[in-house]
Amino acid sequence: MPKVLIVDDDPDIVDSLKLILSAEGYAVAAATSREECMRAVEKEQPDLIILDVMMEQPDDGFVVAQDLRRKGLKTPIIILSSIGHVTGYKYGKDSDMAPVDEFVAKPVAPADLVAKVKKFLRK
Amino acid sequence: MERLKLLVVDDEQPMREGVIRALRKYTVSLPYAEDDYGFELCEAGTGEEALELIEKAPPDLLLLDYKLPGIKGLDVLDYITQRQLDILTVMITAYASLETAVSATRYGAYDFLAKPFTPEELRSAVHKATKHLVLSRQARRLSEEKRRVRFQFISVLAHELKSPLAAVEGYLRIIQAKSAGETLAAYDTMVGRSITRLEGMRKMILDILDLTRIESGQKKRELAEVDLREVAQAAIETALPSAQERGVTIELHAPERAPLSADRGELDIILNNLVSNAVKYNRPDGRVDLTIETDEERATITCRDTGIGLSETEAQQLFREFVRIKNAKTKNILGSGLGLSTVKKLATEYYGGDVRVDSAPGAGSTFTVTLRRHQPAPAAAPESR
Repeated sequence: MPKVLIVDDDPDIVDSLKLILSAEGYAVAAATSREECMRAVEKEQPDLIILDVMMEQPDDGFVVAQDLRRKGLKTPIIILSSIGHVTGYKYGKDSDMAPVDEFVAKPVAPADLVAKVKKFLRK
Repeated sequence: MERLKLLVVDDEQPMREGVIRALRKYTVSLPYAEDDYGFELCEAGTGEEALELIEKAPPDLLLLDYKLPGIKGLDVLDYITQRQLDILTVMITAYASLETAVSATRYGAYDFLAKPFTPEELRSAVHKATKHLVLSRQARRLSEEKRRVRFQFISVLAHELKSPLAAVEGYLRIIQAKSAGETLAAYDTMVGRSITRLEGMRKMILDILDLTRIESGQKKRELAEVDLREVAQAAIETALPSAQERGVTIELHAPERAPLSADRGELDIILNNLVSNAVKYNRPDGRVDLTIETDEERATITCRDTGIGLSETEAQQLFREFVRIKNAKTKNILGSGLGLSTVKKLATEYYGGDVRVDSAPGAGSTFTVTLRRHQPAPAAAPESR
Protein backbone atom coordinates (compact mmCIF):
# COMPACT_ATOMS: atom_id res chain seq x y z
CA MET A 1 0.00 0.00 0.00
CA PRO A 2 1.61 3.31 -1.03
CA LYS A 3 2.14 5.75 1.81
CA VAL A 4 1.40 9.48 1.75
CA LEU A 5 2.87 11.93 4.28
CA ILE A 6 0.69 14.95 4.96
CA VAL A 7 2.42 18.01 6.42
CA ASP A 8 0.13 20.78 7.60
CA ASP A 9 -0.09 22.65 10.89
CA ASP A 10 -3.89 22.72 10.80
CA PRO A 11 -5.19 19.52 12.45
CA ASP A 12 -8.49 19.77 10.60
CA ILE A 13 -6.80 19.92 7.20
CA VAL A 14 -4.70 16.91 8.20
CA ASP A 15 -7.84 15.02 9.24
CA SER A 16 -9.65 15.89 6.00
CA LEU A 17 -6.78 14.80 3.82
CA LYS A 18 -6.28 11.66 5.84
CA LEU A 19 -9.90 10.72 5.34
CA ILE A 20 -9.89 11.41 1.63
CA LEU A 21 -6.71 9.47 0.99
CA SER A 22 -7.34 6.51 3.26
CA ALA A 23 -10.76 6.10 1.62
CA GLU A 24 -8.79 5.64 -1.60
CA GLY A 25 -6.73 2.92 0.02
CA TYR A 26 -3.55 4.85 0.76
CA ALA A 27 -1.65 4.56 4.00
CA VAL A 28 -1.40 8.04 5.54
CA ALA A 29 1.08 9.58 7.98
CA ALA A 30 0.97 13.16 9.23
CA ALA A 31 3.32 15.83 10.54
CA THR A 32 2.46 19.33 11.75
CA SER A 33 5.80 21.13 11.67
CA ARG A 34 9.09 21.26 9.80
CA GLU A 35 10.89 19.20 12.42
CA GLU A 36 8.17 16.59 12.58
CA CYS A 37 8.19 16.38 8.81
CA MET A 38 11.93 15.72 8.64
CA ARG A 39 11.60 12.98 11.24
CA ALA A 40 8.53 11.44 9.58
CA VAL A 41 10.25 11.31 6.18
CA GLU A 42 12.98 9.14 7.68
CA LYS A 43 10.73 7.01 9.83
CA GLU A 44 7.77 6.52 7.51
CA GLN A 45 9.59 6.43 4.16
CA PRO A 46 6.56 7.87 2.35
CA ASP A 47 6.02 7.44 -1.37
CA LEU A 48 4.54 10.92 -1.70
CA ILE A 49 4.64 14.08 0.43
CA ILE A 50 1.88 16.67 0.55
CA LEU A 51 3.20 19.93 2.01
CA ASP A 52 1.34 23.00 3.15
CA VAL A 53 3.19 26.20 2.25
CA MET A 54 2.49 28.24 5.35
CA MET A 55 3.17 26.74 8.69
CA GLU A 56 4.87 28.78 11.40
CA GLN A 57 6.65 30.82 8.74
CA PRO A 58 5.05 31.86 5.46
CA ASP A 59 7.57 29.89 3.41
CA ASP A 60 8.01 26.81 5.58
CA GLY A 61 6.67 24.50 2.88
CA PHE A 62 9.28 25.69 0.39
CA VAL A 63 12.04 25.50 2.94
CA VAL A 64 11.08 21.94 3.80
CA ALA A 65 10.97 21.00 0.12
CA GLN A 66 14.43 22.48 -0.41
CA ASP A 67 15.81 20.73 2.66
CA LEU A 68 14.46 17.39 1.50
CA ARG A 69 15.85 17.79 -2.00
CA ARG A 70 19.21 18.88 -0.62
CA LYS A 71 19.30 15.62 1.29
CA GLY A 72 18.90 13.85 -2.01
CA LEU A 73 15.32 12.78 -1.45
CA LYS A 74 13.57 12.00 -4.74
CA THR A 75 10.09 11.39 -3.32
CA PRO A 76 7.48 13.39 -5.24
CA ILE A 77 6.24 16.48 -3.38
CA ILE A 78 2.88 18.17 -3.83
CA ILE A 79 2.62 21.67 -2.42
CA LEU A 80 -0.76 22.54 -1.06
CA SER A 81 -1.08 26.27 -1.11
CA SER A 82 -3.55 29.04 -0.68
CA ILE A 83 -1.03 31.85 -0.78
CA GLY A 84 -1.49 32.49 -4.48
CA HIS A 85 -4.81 34.07 -3.69
CA VAL A 86 -3.36 36.38 -1.07
CA THR A 87 -0.17 37.51 -2.72
CA GLY A 88 -1.34 37.38 -6.31
CA TYR A 89 1.79 35.42 -7.15
CA LYS A 90 1.49 32.46 -9.41
CA TYR A 91 3.66 29.54 -8.50
CA GLY A 92 4.81 27.01 -10.99
CA LYS A 93 7.32 24.26 -11.15
CA ASP A 94 10.79 25.66 -10.71
CA SER A 95 13.43 23.22 -9.64
CA ASP A 96 15.58 25.91 -8.01
CA MET A 97 13.01 28.04 -6.29
CA ALA A 98 10.56 25.33 -5.36
CA PRO A 99 11.79 21.85 -6.04
CA VAL A 100 8.37 20.25 -6.02
CA ASP A 101 6.35 18.24 -8.51
CA GLU A 102 2.92 19.75 -8.29
CA PHE A 103 1.01 22.69 -6.87
CA VAL A 104 -2.53 22.28 -5.66
CA ALA A 105 -4.66 25.24 -4.63
CA LYS A 106 -6.29 25.03 -1.24
CA PRO A 107 -9.05 24.22 -0.50
CA VAL A 108 -9.07 21.27 -2.81
CA ALA A 109 -11.96 19.14 -3.99
CA PRO A 110 -11.40 15.55 -2.82
CA ALA A 111 -11.65 14.15 -6.36
CA ASP A 112 -9.01 16.61 -7.66
CA LEU A 113 -6.59 15.76 -4.92
CA VAL A 114 -7.06 12.05 -5.45
CA ALA A 115 -6.43 12.51 -9.17
CA LYS A 116 -3.17 14.36 -8.50
CA VAL A 117 -2.04 11.78 -6.00
CA LYS A 118 -2.86 8.96 -8.40
CA LYS A 119 -0.69 10.62 -11.02
CA PHE A 120 2.36 9.99 -8.80
CA LEU A 121 1.40 6.73 -7.13
CA ARG A 122 0.26 3.53 -8.66
CA LYS A 123 -1.32 1.26 -6.13
CA MET B 1 27.92 62.46 15.97
CA GLU B 2 25.89 62.35 12.78
CA ARG B 3 27.24 64.29 9.83
CA LEU B 4 25.04 66.15 7.43
CA LYS B 5 26.36 67.23 4.08
CA LEU B 6 25.99 70.96 3.51
CA LEU B 7 26.67 72.55 0.13
CA VAL B 8 27.16 76.30 -0.09
CA VAL B 9 26.68 77.85 -3.52
CA ASP B 10 27.82 81.43 -3.99
CA ASP B 11 29.86 83.15 -6.70
CA GLU B 12 31.78 85.21 -4.18
CA GLN B 13 34.66 83.21 -2.82
CA PRO B 14 35.10 85.20 0.46
CA MET B 15 31.42 84.63 1.13
CA ARG B 16 31.82 80.85 0.80
CA GLU B 17 34.90 80.92 2.98
CA GLY B 18 33.05 82.88 5.64
CA VAL B 19 30.21 80.37 5.65
CA ILE B 20 32.58 77.44 5.92
CA ARG B 21 34.51 79.08 8.73
CA ALA B 22 31.31 79.76 10.65
CA LEU B 23 30.01 76.22 10.31
CA ARG B 24 33.17 74.10 10.41
CA LYS B 25 32.95 73.42 14.12
CA TYR B 26 29.28 74.11 14.52
CA THR B 27 27.09 71.34 15.86
CA VAL B 28 23.36 71.15 16.33
CA SER B 29 21.88 69.17 19.17
CA LEU B 30 18.22 68.36 19.13
CA PRO B 31 16.27 67.23 22.16
CA TYR B 32 14.59 64.30 20.36
CA ALA B 33 17.68 63.01 18.52
CA GLU B 34 20.29 60.94 20.29
CA ASP B 35 23.24 62.27 18.35
CA ASP B 36 24.45 65.77 17.69
CA TYR B 37 24.66 66.89 14.11
CA GLY B 38 27.85 68.22 12.58
CA PHE B 39 28.44 69.32 9.02
CA GLU B 40 30.51 68.07 6.17
CA LEU B 41 30.97 71.19 4.10
CA CYS B 42 31.44 71.57 0.35
CA GLU B 43 31.20 74.54 -1.94
CA ALA B 44 30.37 75.56 -5.49
CA GLY B 45 30.98 78.89 -7.22
CA THR B 46 28.41 78.53 -10.00
CA GLY B 47 25.02 76.96 -10.59
CA GLU B 48 26.55 74.53 -13.10
CA GLU B 49 29.09 73.36 -10.57
CA ALA B 50 26.35 73.03 -7.95
CA LEU B 51 24.21 70.84 -10.22
CA GLU B 52 27.17 68.61 -10.92
CA LEU B 53 27.83 68.15 -7.20
CA ILE B 54 24.15 67.56 -6.47
CA GLU B 55 24.08 64.95 -9.21
CA LYS B 56 27.18 63.18 -7.93
CA ALA B 57 26.67 63.31 -4.20
CA PRO B 58 23.47 65.05 -3.14
CA PRO B 59 23.84 67.15 0.02
CA ASP B 60 21.34 67.21 2.88
CA LEU B 61 21.33 70.96 3.19
CA LEU B 62 21.89 73.58 0.54
CA LEU B 63 22.77 77.25 1.08
CA LEU B 64 22.00 78.73 -2.29
CA ASP B 65 22.73 82.22 -3.54
CA TYR B 66 19.84 83.75 -5.43
CA LYS B 67 22.01 85.69 -7.85
CA LEU B 68 24.49 83.54 -9.72
CA PRO B 69 26.18 83.97 -13.08
CA GLY B 70 24.94 81.50 -15.70
CA ILE B 71 22.39 79.10 -14.21
CA LYS B 72 20.43 81.04 -11.60
CA GLY B 73 19.77 80.02 -8.04
CA LEU B 74 16.07 79.50 -8.78
CA ASP B 75 16.99 77.13 -11.64
CA VAL B 76 19.03 75.02 -9.23
CA LEU B 77 16.10 75.05 -6.82
CA ASP B 78 13.73 74.05 -9.59
CA TYR B 79 16.02 71.16 -10.55
CA ILE B 80 15.90 69.84 -6.98
CA THR B 81 12.15 70.23 -6.67
CA GLN B 82 11.45 68.59 -10.04
CA ARG B 83 13.47 65.55 -9.08
CA GLN B 84 12.01 65.47 -5.58
CA LEU B 85 15.49 65.25 -4.09
CA ASP B 86 15.69 65.03 -0.32
CA ILE B 87 17.55 68.33 0.02
CA LEU B 88 16.54 71.24 2.21
CA THR B 89 17.39 74.61 0.67
CA VAL B 90 18.01 77.94 2.35
CA MET B 91 18.17 80.80 -0.15
CA ILE B 92 20.76 83.50 0.32
CA THR B 93 19.47 86.78 -1.05
CA ALA B 94 20.97 90.21 -1.18
CA TYR B 95 18.46 92.83 -0.09
CA ALA B 96 15.78 90.28 0.61
CA SER B 97 12.65 91.56 -0.90
CA LEU B 98 9.24 90.12 -0.39
CA GLU B 99 9.10 89.32 -4.08
CA THR B 100 12.24 87.16 -4.22
CA ALA B 101 11.19 85.49 -1.00
CA VAL B 102 7.80 84.55 -2.38
CA SER B 103 9.14 83.25 -5.68
CA ALA B 104 11.80 81.14 -3.95
CA THR B 105 9.21 79.56 -1.68
CA ARG B 106 7.13 78.75 -4.68
CA TYR B 107 10.12 76.93 -6.10
CA GLY B 108 10.52 74.92 -2.91
CA ALA B 109 13.00 76.80 -0.70
CA TYR B 110 12.59 76.22 3.01
CA ASP B 111 14.01 79.47 4.36
CA PHE B 112 15.96 82.67 3.56
CA LEU B 113 19.02 84.34 4.76
CA ALA B 114 19.47 88.00 3.86
CA LYS B 115 22.91 89.28 2.94
CA PRO B 116 24.82 90.56 4.74
CA PHE B 117 24.42 88.20 7.69
CA THR B 118 26.45 87.58 10.82
CA PRO B 119 27.88 84.12 11.64
CA GLU B 120 25.26 83.95 14.40
CA GLU B 121 22.43 84.55 11.97
CA LEU B 122 23.87 81.91 9.66
CA ARG B 123 24.11 79.35 12.44
CA SER B 124 20.64 80.08 13.61
CA ALA B 125 19.29 79.53 10.06
CA VAL B 126 21.27 76.29 9.78
CA HIS B 127 19.98 75.18 13.18
CA LYS B 128 16.40 75.75 12.11
CA ALA B 129 16.92 73.96 8.78
CA THR B 130 18.64 71.01 10.46
CA LYS B 131 15.81 70.65 12.92
CA HIS B 132 13.27 70.65 10.12
CA LEU B 133 15.27 68.17 8.06
CA VAL B 134 15.79 65.71 10.89
CA LEU B 135 12.18 65.89 11.99
CA SER B 136 10.73 65.37 8.54
CA ARG B 137 13.07 62.44 7.91
CA GLN B 138 12.06 60.87 11.21
CA ALA B 139 8.42 61.34 10.36
CA ARG B 140 8.91 59.69 6.98
CA ARG B 141 10.75 56.74 8.51
CA LEU B 142 7.97 56.28 11.02
CA SER B 143 5.26 56.30 8.42
CA GLU B 144 7.15 53.78 6.28
CA GLU B 145 7.60 51.57 9.33
CA LYS B 146 3.93 51.91 10.07
CA ARG B 147 2.99 50.89 6.55
CA ARG B 148 5.25 47.86 6.77
CA VAL B 149 3.80 46.75 10.10
CA ARG B 150 0.31 47.30 8.76
CA PHE B 151 1.01 45.18 5.72
CA GLN B 152 2.44 42.42 7.84
CA PHE B 153 -0.54 42.54 10.16
CA ILE B 154 -2.98 42.29 7.27
CA SER B 155 -1.09 39.42 5.61
CA VAL B 156 -1.10 37.42 8.82
CA LEU B 157 -4.70 38.36 9.46
CA ALA B 158 -5.73 37.13 6.01
CA HIS B 159 -3.96 33.85 6.63
CA GLU B 160 -5.46 33.42 10.07
CA LEU B 161 -8.96 34.10 8.80
CA LYS B 162 -8.54 31.82 5.84
CA SER B 163 -7.35 28.84 7.86
CA PRO B 164 -10.72 28.14 9.50
CA LEU B 165 -12.46 28.72 6.17
CA ALA B 166 -10.18 26.20 4.49
CA ALA B 167 -10.78 23.69 7.27
CA VAL B 168 -14.55 24.07 7.11
CA GLU B 169 -14.60 24.01 3.34
CA GLY B 170 -12.44 20.90 3.38
CA TYR B 171 -14.96 19.12 5.59
CA LEU B 172 -17.91 20.34 3.54
CA ARG B 173 -16.34 19.04 0.35
CA ILE B 174 -15.86 15.64 1.97
CA ILE B 175 -19.48 15.68 3.02
CA GLN B 176 -20.51 16.75 -0.47
CA ALA B 177 -18.53 13.92 -2.03
CA LYS B 178 -19.77 11.54 0.68
CA SER B 179 -16.20 10.34 1.04
CA ALA B 180 -16.96 8.79 4.44
CA GLY B 181 -19.89 6.76 3.21
CA GLU B 182 -23.67 7.11 3.28
CA THR B 183 -24.15 7.02 7.07
CA LEU B 184 -24.84 10.45 8.51
CA ALA B 185 -23.15 9.60 11.82
CA ALA B 186 -19.83 9.19 10.04
CA TYR B 187 -19.77 12.96 9.56
CA ASP B 188 -20.53 13.96 13.16
CA THR B 189 -16.94 14.80 14.04
CA MET B 190 -16.51 16.88 10.87
CA VAL B 191 -19.63 18.88 11.57
CA GLY B 192 -18.57 19.40 15.19
CA ARG B 193 -15.07 20.53 14.18
CA SER B 194 -16.52 22.87 11.56
CA ILE B 195 -18.71 24.57 14.14
CA THR B 196 -15.75 24.87 16.51
CA ARG B 197 -13.61 26.48 13.79
CA LEU B 198 -16.36 28.93 12.90
CA GLU B 199 -16.74 29.89 16.57
CA GLY B 200 -13.00 30.48 16.68
CA MET B 201 -13.27 32.68 13.64
CA ARG B 202 -16.00 34.75 15.19
CA LYS B 203 -13.90 35.17 18.33
CA MET B 204 -10.98 36.31 16.23
CA ILE B 205 -13.08 38.91 14.43
CA LEU B 206 -14.28 40.29 17.78
CA ASP B 207 -10.69 40.42 19.05
CA ILE B 208 -9.59 42.23 15.91
CA LEU B 209 -12.30 44.80 16.48
CA ASP B 210 -11.03 45.33 20.04
CA LEU B 211 -7.46 45.68 18.87
CA THR B 212 -8.12 48.02 15.96
CA ARG B 213 -10.38 50.18 18.07
CA ILE B 214 -7.55 50.62 20.55
CA GLU B 215 -4.92 51.11 17.86
CA SER B 216 -6.83 53.66 15.83
CA GLY B 217 -7.67 55.73 18.87
CA GLN B 218 -11.18 55.87 17.42
CA LYS B 219 -12.72 54.48 20.52
CA LYS B 220 -13.50 57.25 22.91
CA ARG B 221 -11.87 56.57 26.24
CA GLU B 222 -13.91 57.36 29.26
CA LEU B 223 -11.75 57.63 32.33
CA ALA B 224 -13.57 57.24 35.59
CA GLU B 225 -12.91 55.63 38.91
CA VAL B 226 -13.31 51.91 38.38
CA ASP B 227 -13.22 49.22 41.04
CA LEU B 228 -10.87 46.52 39.84
CA ARG B 229 -12.48 44.01 42.18
CA GLU B 230 -15.79 44.47 40.43
CA VAL B 231 -14.18 44.11 36.99
CA ALA B 232 -12.49 40.90 38.13
CA GLN B 233 -15.75 39.51 39.50
CA ALA B 234 -17.47 40.22 36.19
CA ALA B 235 -14.66 38.51 34.26
CA ILE B 236 -14.91 35.46 36.51
CA GLU B 237 -18.64 35.32 35.98
CA THR B 238 -18.16 35.42 32.21
CA ALA B 239 -15.67 32.57 32.36
CA LEU B 240 -17.71 30.50 34.79
CA PRO B 241 -19.68 28.34 32.32
CA SER B 242 -16.57 27.10 30.52
CA ALA B 243 -14.73 26.74 33.84
CA GLN B 244 -17.50 24.57 35.27
CA GLU B 245 -17.58 22.50 32.12
CA ARG B 246 -13.94 21.64 32.72
CA GLY B 247 -14.15 21.44 36.47
CA VAL B 248 -11.85 24.43 36.92
CA THR B 249 -12.33 26.49 40.06
CA ILE B 250 -11.61 30.22 40.05
CA GLU B 251 -10.81 32.11 43.22
CA LEU B 252 -10.52 35.85 43.64
CA HIS B 253 -8.17 37.37 46.20
CA ALA B 254 -8.79 41.10 46.31
CA PRO B 255 -9.25 43.92 48.81
CA GLU B 256 -12.76 45.24 49.51
CA ARG B 257 -12.20 47.93 46.95
CA ALA B 258 -9.40 48.44 44.43
CA PRO B 259 -10.15 51.71 42.70
CA LEU B 260 -8.15 53.15 39.83
CA SER B 261 -8.74 55.72 37.15
CA ALA B 262 -9.45 53.79 33.98
CA ASP B 263 -11.73 53.07 31.07
CA ARG B 264 -14.03 50.26 32.19
CA GLY B 265 -14.14 48.66 28.72
CA GLU B 266 -10.35 48.43 28.60
CA LEU B 267 -10.14 46.80 32.01
CA ASP B 268 -12.82 44.33 30.92
CA ILE B 269 -10.68 43.36 27.93
CA ILE B 270 -7.62 42.82 30.15
CA LEU B 271 -9.38 40.78 32.84
CA ASN B 272 -11.50 38.76 30.42
CA ASN B 273 -8.41 37.75 28.46
CA LEU B 274 -6.44 36.76 31.54
CA VAL B 275 -9.23 34.76 33.12
CA SER B 276 -10.47 33.05 29.96
CA ASN B 277 -6.89 32.05 29.05
CA ALA B 278 -6.34 30.67 32.52
CA VAL B 279 -9.45 28.53 32.14
CA LYS B 280 -8.82 27.50 28.52
CA TYR B 281 -5.23 26.45 29.01
CA ASN B 282 -5.83 24.78 32.36
CA ARG B 283 -5.92 21.08 33.05
CA PRO B 284 -9.29 19.49 33.83
CA ASP B 285 -10.20 20.11 37.48
CA GLY B 286 -7.45 22.70 37.74
CA ARG B 287 -7.65 26.02 39.52
CA VAL B 288 -7.22 29.69 38.81
CA ASP B 289 -6.13 32.22 41.41
CA LEU B 290 -6.82 35.81 40.51
CA THR B 291 -5.12 38.24 42.87
CA ILE B 292 -5.46 42.00 42.94
CA GLU B 293 -3.18 44.23 44.95
CA THR B 294 -2.82 47.97 45.03
CA ASP B 295 -0.42 50.49 46.42
CA GLU B 296 -0.34 54.29 46.12
CA GLU B 297 0.89 54.19 42.52
CA ARG B 298 -0.03 50.91 40.94
CA ALA B 299 -2.54 48.13 40.74
CA THR B 300 -1.20 44.65 40.19
CA ILE B 301 -3.28 41.83 38.77
CA THR B 302 -1.86 38.34 39.11
CA CYS B 303 -3.52 35.41 37.39
CA ARG B 304 -2.11 32.02 38.26
CA ASP B 305 -3.28 28.81 36.61
CA THR B 306 -2.46 25.13 36.99
CA GLY B 307 -2.37 24.57 33.26
CA ILE B 308 -0.04 23.26 30.60
CA GLY B 309 2.51 26.02 31.07
CA LEU B 310 4.91 27.46 28.54
CA SER B 311 8.48 26.87 27.49
CA GLU B 312 10.84 29.83 27.61
CA THR B 313 10.70 30.32 23.83
CA GLU B 314 6.94 30.13 23.86
CA ALA B 315 6.76 32.68 26.67
CA GLN B 316 8.92 35.10 24.70
CA GLN B 317 6.64 34.99 21.68
CA LEU B 318 3.43 35.09 23.60
CA PHE B 319 2.63 38.79 23.46
CA ARG B 320 3.07 39.22 19.73
CA GLU B 321 0.05 39.54 17.49
CA PHE B 322 -1.41 36.29 16.19
CA VAL B 323 1.08 34.18 18.05
CA ARG B 324 -0.68 31.08 19.20
CA ILE B 325 1.37 28.45 20.83
CA LYS B 326 0.79 25.42 18.68
CA ASN B 327 1.44 22.02 20.07
CA ALA B 328 -0.44 18.80 20.63
CA LYS B 329 -1.88 20.14 23.88
CA THR B 330 -3.30 23.33 22.39
CA LYS B 331 -4.68 22.00 19.14
CA ASN B 332 -8.24 21.77 20.39
CA ILE B 333 -8.21 25.10 22.19
CA LEU B 334 -9.75 28.05 20.44
CA GLY B 335 -7.86 31.29 20.34
CA SER B 336 -7.20 34.17 18.03
CA GLY B 337 -3.64 34.89 19.09
CA LEU B 338 -4.66 38.49 19.63
CA GLY B 339 -5.83 38.54 23.23
CA LEU B 340 -2.50 38.88 24.99
CA SER B 341 -1.05 41.31 22.48
CA THR B 342 -4.09 43.48 23.09
CA VAL B 343 -3.62 43.19 26.86
CA LYS B 344 -0.02 44.23 26.46
CA LYS B 345 -0.90 47.16 24.23
CA LEU B 346 -3.44 48.43 26.74
CA ALA B 347 -1.22 47.97 29.78
CA THR B 348 1.89 49.57 28.28
CA GLU B 349 0.42 52.29 26.10
CA TYR B 350 -2.52 53.45 28.17
CA TYR B 351 -1.68 52.55 31.74
CA GLY B 352 2.10 53.00 31.91
CA GLY B 353 2.34 49.40 33.03
CA ASP B 354 3.45 46.03 31.80
CA VAL B 355 2.58 42.37 31.42
CA ARG B 356 4.83 39.47 32.16
CA VAL B 357 4.54 35.75 32.43
CA ASP B 358 6.31 33.26 34.67
CA SER B 359 5.87 29.74 33.53
CA ALA B 360 7.35 26.35 32.88
CA PRO B 361 5.92 23.48 30.85
CA GLY B 362 3.50 21.47 32.98
CA ALA B 363 3.89 23.81 35.94
CA GLY B 364 1.17 26.31 35.08
CA SER B 365 1.56 29.97 34.20
CA THR B 366 1.35 33.18 36.18
CA PHE B 367 0.50 36.35 34.32
CA THR B 368 1.20 39.61 36.06
CA VAL B 369 -0.27 42.87 34.80
CA THR B 370 0.64 46.17 36.40
CA LEU B 371 -1.35 49.31 35.80
CA ARG B 372 -0.88 52.90 36.86
CA ARG B 373 -3.68 53.89 39.22
CA HIS B 374 -3.76 57.56 38.30
CA GLN B 375 -3.75 58.48 34.63
CA PRO B 376 -2.03 61.69 33.60
CA ALA B 377 -4.28 64.27 32.02
CA PRO B 378 -4.92 64.46 29.15
CA ALA B 379 -4.91 60.71 28.98
CA ALA B 380 -6.47 60.43 25.56
CA ALA B 381 -3.30 59.85 23.57
CA PRO B 382 -1.13 56.80 24.08
CA GLU B 383 2.47 57.45 25.01
CA SER B 384 4.09 55.51 22.25
CA ARG B 385 3.02 54.17 18.98
